[in-house]
Amino acid sequence: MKRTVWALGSIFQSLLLVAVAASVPVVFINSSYIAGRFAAILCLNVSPELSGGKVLAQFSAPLDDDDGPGGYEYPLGGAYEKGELDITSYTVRFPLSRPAWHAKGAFWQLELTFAKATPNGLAGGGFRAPAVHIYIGIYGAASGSTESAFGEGELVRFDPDHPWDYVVSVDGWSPSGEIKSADGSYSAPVDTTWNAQLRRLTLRIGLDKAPALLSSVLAGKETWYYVLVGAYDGAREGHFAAVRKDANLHDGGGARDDDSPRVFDLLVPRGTSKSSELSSEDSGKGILALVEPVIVGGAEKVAQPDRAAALAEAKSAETRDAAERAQKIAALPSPSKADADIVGELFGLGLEERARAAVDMRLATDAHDPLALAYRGALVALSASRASGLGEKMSLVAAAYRDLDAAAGGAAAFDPKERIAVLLCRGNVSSAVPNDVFGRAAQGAADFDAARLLAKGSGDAALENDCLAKAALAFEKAGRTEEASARWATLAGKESLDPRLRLELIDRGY
Amino acid sequence: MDALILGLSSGASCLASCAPFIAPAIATESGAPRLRRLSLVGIFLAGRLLSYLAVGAAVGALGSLAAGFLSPSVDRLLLRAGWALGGLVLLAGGLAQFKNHSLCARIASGEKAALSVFVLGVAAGLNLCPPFIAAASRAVSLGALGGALYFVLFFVGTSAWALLFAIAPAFKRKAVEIKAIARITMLMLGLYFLVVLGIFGWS
Amino acid sequence: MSDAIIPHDLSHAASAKTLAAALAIAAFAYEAWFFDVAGRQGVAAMGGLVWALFCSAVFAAIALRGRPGKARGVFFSVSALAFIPSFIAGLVEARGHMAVSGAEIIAAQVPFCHIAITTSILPAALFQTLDFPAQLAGSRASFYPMLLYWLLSLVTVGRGWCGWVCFYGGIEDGISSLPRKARLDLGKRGPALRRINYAVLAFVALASLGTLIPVYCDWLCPFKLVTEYSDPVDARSYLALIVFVGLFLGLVVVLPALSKRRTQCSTLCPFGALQSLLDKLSPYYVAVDTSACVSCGACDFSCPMFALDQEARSTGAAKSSCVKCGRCFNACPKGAIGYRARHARSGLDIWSTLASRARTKGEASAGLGFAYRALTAALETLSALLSPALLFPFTALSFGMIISTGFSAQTMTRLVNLIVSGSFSAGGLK
Repeated sequence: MKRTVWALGSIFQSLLLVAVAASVPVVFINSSYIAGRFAAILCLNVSPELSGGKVLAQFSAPLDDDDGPGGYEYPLGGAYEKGELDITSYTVRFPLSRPAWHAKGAFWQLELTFAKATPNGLAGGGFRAPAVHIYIGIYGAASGSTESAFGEGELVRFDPDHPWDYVVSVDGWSPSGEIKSADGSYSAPVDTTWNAQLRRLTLRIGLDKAPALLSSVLAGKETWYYVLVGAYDGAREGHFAAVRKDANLHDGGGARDDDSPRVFDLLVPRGTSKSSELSSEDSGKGILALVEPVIVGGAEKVAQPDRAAALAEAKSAETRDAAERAQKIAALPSPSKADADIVGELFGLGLEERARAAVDMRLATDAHDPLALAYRGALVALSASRASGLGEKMSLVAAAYRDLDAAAGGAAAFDPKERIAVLLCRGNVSSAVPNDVFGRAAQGAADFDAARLLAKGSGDAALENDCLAKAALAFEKAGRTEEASARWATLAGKESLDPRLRLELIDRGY
Repeated sequence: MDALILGLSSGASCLASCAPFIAPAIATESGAPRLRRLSLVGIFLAGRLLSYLAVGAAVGALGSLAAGFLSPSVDRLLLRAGWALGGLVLLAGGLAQFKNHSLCARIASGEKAALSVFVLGVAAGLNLCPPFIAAASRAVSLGALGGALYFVLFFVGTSAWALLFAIAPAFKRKAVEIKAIARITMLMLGLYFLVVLGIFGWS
Repeated sequence: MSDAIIPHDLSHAASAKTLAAALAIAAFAYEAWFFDVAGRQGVAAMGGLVWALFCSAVFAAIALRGRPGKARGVFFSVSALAFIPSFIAGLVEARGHMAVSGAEIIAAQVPFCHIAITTSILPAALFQTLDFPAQLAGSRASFYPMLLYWLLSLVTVGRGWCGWVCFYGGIEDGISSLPRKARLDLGKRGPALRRINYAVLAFVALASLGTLIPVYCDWLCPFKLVTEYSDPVDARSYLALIVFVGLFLGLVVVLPALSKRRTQCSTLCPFGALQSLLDKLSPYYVAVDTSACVSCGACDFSCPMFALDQEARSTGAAKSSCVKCGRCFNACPKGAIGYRARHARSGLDIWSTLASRARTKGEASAGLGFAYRALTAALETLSALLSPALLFPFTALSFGMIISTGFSAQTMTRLVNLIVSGSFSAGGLK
């Protein structure tokens, strides 16, 4: 008996040691997946004291709307790229009285993210294009102002129901920002951090020496913010460049009249249109455009959308599409060599076998045909979703990406429609595969963004909206919620939307 | 009732901020009977309560809590004072392993253990965490008797973690090693708290 | 060639051992190819191939000799030396300089290393909060992957991480093995230094818990000199600079060179102390055959971690500070030290017992002699293959090789690029 126990124990120990040895390569091969599981189970967050405090409020702003009231052009002097004055997100954090790790004193952190950010090239310099003014109002303050803090400044006036008490002015060319009070009694520098990779400007307003009223943010009083972005011009008071009828080296263009606001983008509350705010000036009477703030702790003035109606519309859109698809399939000619020219349509109609044959025909003619490679990759990815073993799935997806990456790399010079199809193929696969294994969701989002720009260029609004939604979903999958929110916010501002997208927005609270 | 719940829910952060003070002190009692360890924890909590009451009353009387928050500079001053005081006591406890410090040796030998643990509790209590501020503001608004009761219940809630010491084993076999390690740890913590965090304020 | 733990009459035939070693080397070489070469192209594949060949050669030396010997030390030191240029070059390419900036802290983009686990594990467990400004996932130097590697190390190598995997420890390991003789005898200080090690762990864990600051990283880590640090701009950061440069020079370079001990690893590193505390989870330890030991103390002198004092020799097990490096195996004149699996009876396993039975039966039987001889050989090979002497180095070196793959292969690639094109880039890396 003792011998048997010893023998079994010895066998067990041998097996254990082999399992331990095998566990090393096995765990490393699956480390992304396991780490992803950890993330889902443990749900850790980096200490807010390190990142600047817990988030109090976060606002998303639509993309591609850095054109003032509409039609504004950037000044010509800086060779700026579109998007450098486009706010995508604004975050207000809780004030921090016990900041961690090297931060000096209590502070209050605000963050602004842009669609594009180009550093000005100086050591420690910020983004080259934007000048930012954030006007802050605090509930219960005895007095405030409704006029610009910078003389002519931005050529806007502020909502009399929400006067501002402090203004923070920042640009990428000054070593730090500045905060000053409406009555002129207080001013202090503001720490600025420019992160080009995240396209983010981080502001830290010191609270140690701030007036008691500013410290009232610690007490969680209701606050409101006018976040205005203009083009940088160091020669003007407030550093906002003027906007004329025609752009020149220093000034922007596209202004309607002399009183047109010098604001390229601003944060507006839900239910308000930026272009209507910024075109509300009355030049004849010398009245400037009126802007409204976003409020933290304030009531939403937007009417609640009718979800039931949106759901019904979405369902009938679904039914219409299914009927259209059936009609198209019926109207297709019999399989022939001509299939090679309609491979996209075949794939879109779900005719996998025929699409596969069409792909093979194209590749027989040209082994590097990007469109064929992209569809082949997509078809292989589809078969991966039906495969049974994990190993088989993974190797099929890897094979799919070899084709998709080759297609995306090779189609640069080709027809925009083909390029869009290639990007959509890769984007769709990247959105479908698990991100914690393949880590491709962010790339998928970038593919959808690129497809969107091409669709916009060719005037296809429906496709543009579709790509925006897919990019938002992909960013959500990649855990980049700020970028996802910016895209949802952009969609929310569109006039005509597919009912299914409208439903998606309603379900997300837009 | 919600005072108790508020206290229980912030127990983890209270445990975290008290642990550097109380854990090494209890570790130097490794091998001692459970009752002795629990009584030292009780003395620590008493010191903490005294600190809370004294500081809370002072700060409340100055009206600093009326706005519902504590001025950052006052908060950091109290924090630094707590680190410095706690660091001093820990440093003394840590130096006790060197026999030529007679006061420190007396602290170590247990004569003054209760006193040093009490002072550690006072030091720990100077760390006014946000739940404390919330509870203190609430207590102030409830008037004298109601406020005191509210605050005591909150305090009881936060001290629930002390029960851990009731279930912790005594580690009799490794007691000598653990005590020696605890003294070295106290020395390091004492230096860090007193000099780096307390005197220089380098957090 | 003798196996220290197994009594001589049951020692494996030399041919069985060689065959077992050959099989293990083949398995290791495949593993090395898979992790270092497969999927890479161009210059990156070349760099990976160099590293794979090097690691395989190291394992071959260990497997054929039956002990880690100098080969482990060479691997360990080379991989640590390969880490430094790869890491620093990566930082300089990404941010333009080595120093951590406020921007990285705010954006939680500071690389996370395994030592920081000791500062972060308690706040993470209590508050679901990471007190270190690192990414949670997305690269090897982020929290969740590092947590995974740590948990894996607990059940595989234990404190052997410090002898086979840690890309910091290799520096000290190399320096401490260079001198022929120790000029400073720290042997008697061993117990005190081990206590200090545990105290540092307790200090780091408690202080970090109480302040939510990664205290070790802030003040005590000597390896900031070869990774990243806070820019010295004020009194505090200058003092921190003096401290970590002093600790590096003192504990990582000078004292190891004088004493032949790994003074930083055995005294300061809180991660090492944590691994020691949890070493019982690892299935392997270093055992002393008390019947063969003559208490000459040679192992004590050779051990860089003070793990083989008189008490260890009498109980037959190295202290928990043992990093399983195997230096003592060479030092022992009686061959009385080796790896053993926990809870294993000395030297005996089912396979060698079955092998000796099969040999006896084969000698007794006339007709089936050949079959029994073949069975004996197979069982002896299996026994040698499954012995801790081979399996532990396989496990530990696999771990070390895979962890080092990223940065070592990249350093090889950078060197190749430097020679070929004069630029220290990692270009062509996949």
